[in-house]
Amino acid sequence: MRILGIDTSSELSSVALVDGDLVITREVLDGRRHAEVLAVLLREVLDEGPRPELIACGVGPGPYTGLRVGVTTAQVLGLAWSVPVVGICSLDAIAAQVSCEGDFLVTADARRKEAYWARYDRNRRRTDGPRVSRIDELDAEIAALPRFGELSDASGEPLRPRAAVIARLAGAYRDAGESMASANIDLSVHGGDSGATSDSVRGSRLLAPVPLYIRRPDAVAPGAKS
Amino acid sequence: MSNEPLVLGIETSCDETGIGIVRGSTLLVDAVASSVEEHARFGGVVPEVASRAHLEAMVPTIERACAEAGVSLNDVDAFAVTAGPGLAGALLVGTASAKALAVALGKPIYAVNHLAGHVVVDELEHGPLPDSAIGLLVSGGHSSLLLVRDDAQDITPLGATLDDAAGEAFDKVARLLDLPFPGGPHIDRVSREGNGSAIAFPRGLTASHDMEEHEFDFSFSGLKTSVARWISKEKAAGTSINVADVAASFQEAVVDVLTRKAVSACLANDAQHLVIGGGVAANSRLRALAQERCDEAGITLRVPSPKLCTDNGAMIAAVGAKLVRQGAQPSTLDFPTTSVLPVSTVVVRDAG
Repeated sequence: MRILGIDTSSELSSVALVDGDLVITREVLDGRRHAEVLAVLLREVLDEGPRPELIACGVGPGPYTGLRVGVTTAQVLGLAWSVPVVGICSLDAIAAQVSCEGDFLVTADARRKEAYWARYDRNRRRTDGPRVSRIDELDAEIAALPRFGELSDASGEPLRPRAAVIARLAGAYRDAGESMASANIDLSVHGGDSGATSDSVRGSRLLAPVPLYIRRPDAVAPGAKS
Repeated sequence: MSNEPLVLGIETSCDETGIGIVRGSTLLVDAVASSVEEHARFGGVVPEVASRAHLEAMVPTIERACAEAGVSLNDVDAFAVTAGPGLAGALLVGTASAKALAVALGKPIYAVNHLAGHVVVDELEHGPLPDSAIGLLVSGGHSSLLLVRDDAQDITPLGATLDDAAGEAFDKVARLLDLPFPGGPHIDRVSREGNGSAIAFPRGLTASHDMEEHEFDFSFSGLKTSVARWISKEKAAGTSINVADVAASFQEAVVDVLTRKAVSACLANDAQHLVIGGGVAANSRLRALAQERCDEAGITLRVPSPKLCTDNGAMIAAVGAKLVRQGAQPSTLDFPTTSVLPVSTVVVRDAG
């Protein structure tokens, strides 16, 4: 199956076309230029063959503005081509690149001294999250796990969500007959309960192609001071 | 007519997700999804709420527009999208969508200026613009006087607000009077029962010493403060506030300055036509006074119907169709969004 993968949930704008063993990837590392580079990368990838049969998009969690560029693009491509679009938790795409003997955490910078995080078992299956919380307020047992991704202890470039991984995961889950979570979050305009996602996301690997915001928008109604 | 280009326009600069489709200069559909109710409880537009709502509304609104126009996305000859000015995060949802459509369908894309859209949209209802016209753009985010020449290829700003936009002043005064957000329609409504000359509120930047440097600029912040002071003084004196008179007098101060400066801009630039656009152009007193003063000065007043005055996709499609007609070079896929795009830039060509 010919699958187009997209992820803009990190500083990396990542696009890949995956078809069996064939993988064409185009990426740019610049967290402020997703909207400028993504369509150019897409055209380069798409120039090389026929239209994809499935679009898989990293749905975060990650910085909202960049994340929305990839998710919007995936949704609209799906509309224009009448092709199905699915979402993959971007932290899952990092976990898929990890090899670890036991449980581990994937973390991404949520700013304000907070981290988006999810916990995985040694088979890289998500067992908790994604959630957002202060990194210094994690339970001791969780905080002691090896960490991968942004905010990990390792030096050098952190692991980032890659579109080729997103595409492969989506293909594998589809082939395995997994069903898609009906909705990722209660209502994406207002966000779900702060700090956690809905049960359906925690139990699913194939998600709806809408952002995992996790946090509510920063806005306070007049007179309702927090 | 079917030889004319079919253009789909996308507008997401503030809180309206607008998808418009035009064929040449004929409007086929103007579909808008608004998040205004989401913002009402905050008393103003919250950028993150607007951005989330744009993404949620985008695909359904494109689908609705195509269905209502009876066209398929495959039939579209070119896409146009607002590249600025506006809320950065909101603009990105629109440009990402338009770029995706252009890539998916292999069609050209035009990254256009929101403000140019507010002027050019009038062509959909009232025919081609003359060689030289004055545009008065008044909304919650903008208050500008523009000289529009050469089939809207040349737009020169003559003046703009130095502080609050006119629509912002309406919102703030509405809040002072306990009227709901957005304030414009409510002030318009209650003003009909009031006396516009009951209270002599100040006319910003109309004194002779201001006119030299700011002949075509506006200032509404002092007016808002003056209304606030007047209300608290009356309250302190134990007088009950006549909301209708306050609203009408405030509104009269705003539209007096807007129309006076717009007409003198026409006369100073030898422009025979005045086009008013933006959400505040829906104000009935602004329309009435502008008509009166244009008639006196022998100027043709053009105001689009209220639906096309507020933010919409049709105005962006209208600019796109004009650019196609003019044989303009499309934008490249790497064009940026620019929250402070100057009005003189009608089209953003590329990342440079």
